[in-house]
Amino acid sequence: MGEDWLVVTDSQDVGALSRLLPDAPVTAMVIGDRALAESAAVAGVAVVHWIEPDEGVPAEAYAGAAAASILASSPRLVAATALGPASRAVLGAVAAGCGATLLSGVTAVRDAGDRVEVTGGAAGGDVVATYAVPGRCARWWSLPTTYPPPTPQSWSPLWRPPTARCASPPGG
Amino acid sequence: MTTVVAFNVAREPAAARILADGSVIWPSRKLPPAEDDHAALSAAVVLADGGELVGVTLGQGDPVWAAARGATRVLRVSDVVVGDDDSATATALAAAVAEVDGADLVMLGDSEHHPGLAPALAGHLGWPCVLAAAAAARAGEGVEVTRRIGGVEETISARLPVVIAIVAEGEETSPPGMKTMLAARRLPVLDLVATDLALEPVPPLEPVQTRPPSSAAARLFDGDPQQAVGELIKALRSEGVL
Repeated sequence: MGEDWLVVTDSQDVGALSRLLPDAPVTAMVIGDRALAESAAVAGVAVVHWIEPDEGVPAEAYAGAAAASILASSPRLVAATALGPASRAVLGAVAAGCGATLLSGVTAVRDAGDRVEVTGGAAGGDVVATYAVPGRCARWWSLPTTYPPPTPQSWSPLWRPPTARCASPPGG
Repeated sequence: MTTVVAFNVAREPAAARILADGSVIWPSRKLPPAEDDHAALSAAVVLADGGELVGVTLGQGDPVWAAARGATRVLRVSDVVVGDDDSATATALAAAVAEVDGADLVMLGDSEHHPGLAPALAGHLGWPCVLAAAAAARAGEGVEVTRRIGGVEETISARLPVVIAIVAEGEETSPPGMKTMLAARRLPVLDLVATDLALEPVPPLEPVQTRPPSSAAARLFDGDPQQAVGELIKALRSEGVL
């Protein structure tokens, strides 16, 4: 079974996303400044991969490098909010890279053997839909932008320093 | 150098019919244009600068809509429809774009309801993308894109090839008239099917269960205050409150 990943490019991402996978050990891919990486590191994730963009370079420019790191781990699922363009760019590259299903508006995930059951709003939130996503490659989804912001209670005291810093140049 | 614009490739919730048991029925023939489509096409016309502008759409797309707004020809993958899986939609679009000789710039609307579509299209093409763009202009061998993120206006220079997803700042102000629409019917449309593009037939992802939400969904109007107020008034009108 592959790893579960969170893509973090905004300060609100970590709390929102860690609620989606409260018990699973997850790896964070952070694109942003050091403070953002540290906020991910204290939020209960197992490992942080951190890409610090050069000044004046949009975070999306590192989407290819971030996606390559994620894909190298044969991910089971990758989650991000739809808050930032960079998160979306990473997820698009991951989904294309391994043929993953790409769903938005997701609010809950449940492991169901060889499948993942994904629940979220459909038709603009007028309906709650559940999808059974089969297969072993990455499955990912994005959360609604209105997902509640993180609260201190959702944090754990776990501290793991960043394990890798990807210094790849912007590769698209 | 050929500009491509993808249109009618996002489903707007207003087009859905929701039954009492929570199941959703989408129109099977034609999708209405998504709310950002007109802005993407306008920007594409400017970027094409009189050159070829190829419209790309899927089975529910209306070629006349794009032809009347400046597309010089349209390519449609007629047996693929827009579904909930943005990556599946993007796979078909990418295959269609690959059919366009010299395509190096793809424009499309940055749909709020399909936030993964534009980045997945870029991923399938292996191109970079600029999302949430307000405007784009040619700048030398590349493009210059402006957008507003978190109250900050950014200007981004991008080399070609690139995918640019445009967010409309409002409704279409001057849609084409009847004469233009009729003339648009004469423009060439190339209808392909998935097998023409070596796409594997994949059944659309369908939910295993649907139900009405336990409470009404909240909608946040943020961003530019003037635009947010406009969106709020539009929503109140569509709900029959105003």
